[in-house]
Amino acid sequence: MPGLGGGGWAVRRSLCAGALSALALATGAAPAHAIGTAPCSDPQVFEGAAVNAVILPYRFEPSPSADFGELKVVGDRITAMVQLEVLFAMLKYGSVGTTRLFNEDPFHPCDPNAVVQRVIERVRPGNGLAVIWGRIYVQGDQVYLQSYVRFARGGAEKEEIAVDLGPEGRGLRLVGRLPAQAVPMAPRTITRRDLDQIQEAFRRSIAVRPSRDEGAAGTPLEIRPRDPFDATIVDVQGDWMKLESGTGPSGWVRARTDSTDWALRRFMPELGYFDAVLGYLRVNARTPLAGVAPGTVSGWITSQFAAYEEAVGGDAAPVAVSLSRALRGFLLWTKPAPSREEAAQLCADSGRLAPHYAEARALAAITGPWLHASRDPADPDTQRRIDDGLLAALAVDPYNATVLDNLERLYTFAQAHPSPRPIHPDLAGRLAVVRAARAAARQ
Amino acid sequence: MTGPRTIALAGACWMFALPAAATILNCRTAGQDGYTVILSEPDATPAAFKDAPEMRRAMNALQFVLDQGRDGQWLQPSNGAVNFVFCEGQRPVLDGREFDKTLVETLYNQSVLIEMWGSVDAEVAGGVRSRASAQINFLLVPVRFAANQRETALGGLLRLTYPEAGAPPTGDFVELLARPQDLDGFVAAALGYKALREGSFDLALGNLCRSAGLIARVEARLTGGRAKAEAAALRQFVVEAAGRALAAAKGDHRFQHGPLMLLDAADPCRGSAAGGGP
Repeated sequence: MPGLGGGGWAVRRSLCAGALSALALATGAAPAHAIGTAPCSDPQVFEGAAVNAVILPYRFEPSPSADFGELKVVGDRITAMVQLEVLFAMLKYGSVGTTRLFNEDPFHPCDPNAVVQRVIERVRPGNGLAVIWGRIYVQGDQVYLQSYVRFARGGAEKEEIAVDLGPEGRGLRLVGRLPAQAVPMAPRTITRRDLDQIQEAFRRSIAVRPSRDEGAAGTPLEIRPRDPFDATIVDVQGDWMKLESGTGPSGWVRARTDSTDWALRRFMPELGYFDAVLGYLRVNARTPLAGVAPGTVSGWITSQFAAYEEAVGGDAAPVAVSLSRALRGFLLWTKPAPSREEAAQLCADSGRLAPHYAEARALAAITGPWLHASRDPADPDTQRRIDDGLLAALAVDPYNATVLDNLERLYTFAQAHPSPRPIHPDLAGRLAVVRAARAAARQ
Repeated sequence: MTGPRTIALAGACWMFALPAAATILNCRTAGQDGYTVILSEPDATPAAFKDAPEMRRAMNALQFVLDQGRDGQWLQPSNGAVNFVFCEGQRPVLDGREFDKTLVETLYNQSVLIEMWGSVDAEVAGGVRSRASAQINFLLVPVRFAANQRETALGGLLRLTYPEAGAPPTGDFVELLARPQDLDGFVAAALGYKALREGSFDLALGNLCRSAGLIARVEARLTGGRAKAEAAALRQFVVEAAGRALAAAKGDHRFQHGPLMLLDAADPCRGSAAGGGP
């Protein structure tokens, strides 16, 4: 387990009336961590963080077996525990912030679109934002819950890879994008008794101690779902962080990165998935990693995605699994010593799992040459395979910008490199159609 | 259609304390936007559910789990809201004979895409339910409507049996029946076919080809028998319908300079016709 960053930096934040009111990051490149709460109507993020995680309140759906008050308590408890679990898991990445939003009016749920639109402007270009939210249905002792994960990068930067066939500058450059940047996770079931036990486990394991010693007597870090979580991280030493709280105990907390013992994740494996998405955003963030190697972060990402798949199975959340394969493919594609064949296989898996997503099919099509003998862009067979895949993607979404972009690149290249076996006899006409469709989409 | 519509059926009462009748209700909420998928009460043995309230609790939970697109507007641009409705008290008989021409036309005009119903059973040992099983019918309303108009030979009914071969046994009906991507495929087929009938050829093509890819996955999962044949027939029907949508688009001035011109009506979904994805 890597260190979480040394001294020489500090985060100061004061909570006022439940909203983030100030965040001062010490100067220097050292990692920073912060935690806060804010109302949905005024969502906040930590501008200095390389990656921000925003937890929206889990909202409940009407149930004949629970009254409004009970449902609200369940939703609030889950949201608060999710924030703690996310925070402790993401500390290992360094330079992270997490904000839990709360509803001022429970009858008007927090709108993820509005939240993302407002806070993404405050995320520095190239740095990451991930949002998790969910819905809950309570039936007697059973709590059914479903989470959703969405992410973006500051500065409207897109998640994409350049796929170069042939010599750079004289070959064919295609562009791969992710199948989606917002996915539903597999629904899960948990009992209210489980929730009680998890909360108790949190109280036992997340204790605030006077020194960095697990043997020292500690005070549990209380979860008060209806109150803003009032804590400031003022120092991090190894995997210990020093909290200052306005309403609770202050001192050192051990932030374990060995997450297998964490009870909530056993019931909500999507928290591991969310952690992996945060890791992906962090490893590619404009703010560089410090104190942890990119390869180590990639290893965490891979293992978290694998754990999610193992926990829920591929059929329960195929789009989420498709996205995770594509994210792993992107990491492999762009790493210093790229493993293009392995990346292409992951992209092919992504397309197979989400055949109804045009970007997934297009990604599989353009990376496909790494799974075949020829990667020569002038080879008509190579062109034809890419063309077939792109047209299959176009069929599921006839106006998809990524697909049309790649078709234009392919047809332009094919026109400039005439072949005795052209992929289409009317290449010029098709190119005109593609360009017109792209122009129409831009208007 | 207003109020309940009841069809008496001799010998249909093998379930707990429910009347010997198949009942069809109007479960589409007035003023509801978008499309609807209706989940009916199943015929249930006492081993499956000890009473009707227990069954209804499970169906409400299943509705929650299947309704994964509830937050679709926050995930990606969608074709329009698809609402899942658990129709409490509605119990079609297994062969679906209640869905006659008049009822199907009503459902079609109400933008109902899918009707789901079936039967459930289980084993009980030591008071604990295990080895839940089910037979679920999916009626693609726009396809059945077209069949009633003699536009197509396919009846639009698919019957799937759960658990599938190789699936681990479970006593939880929600876990047994929660196959959201199967439903995505059927919804896309129904929506695509409705769009084809109504002249929205680009919407039709996209949905039909999405459906073809998803139904190919269902088909690949099935090991054989009637269900696999029905899935194969539905996929073939969907691909042919996509070809019709594309051919119609090519003759329609609204689409004649657009990207649909790049596709081939003989193989509109490029690969899904062969039963595979990319």
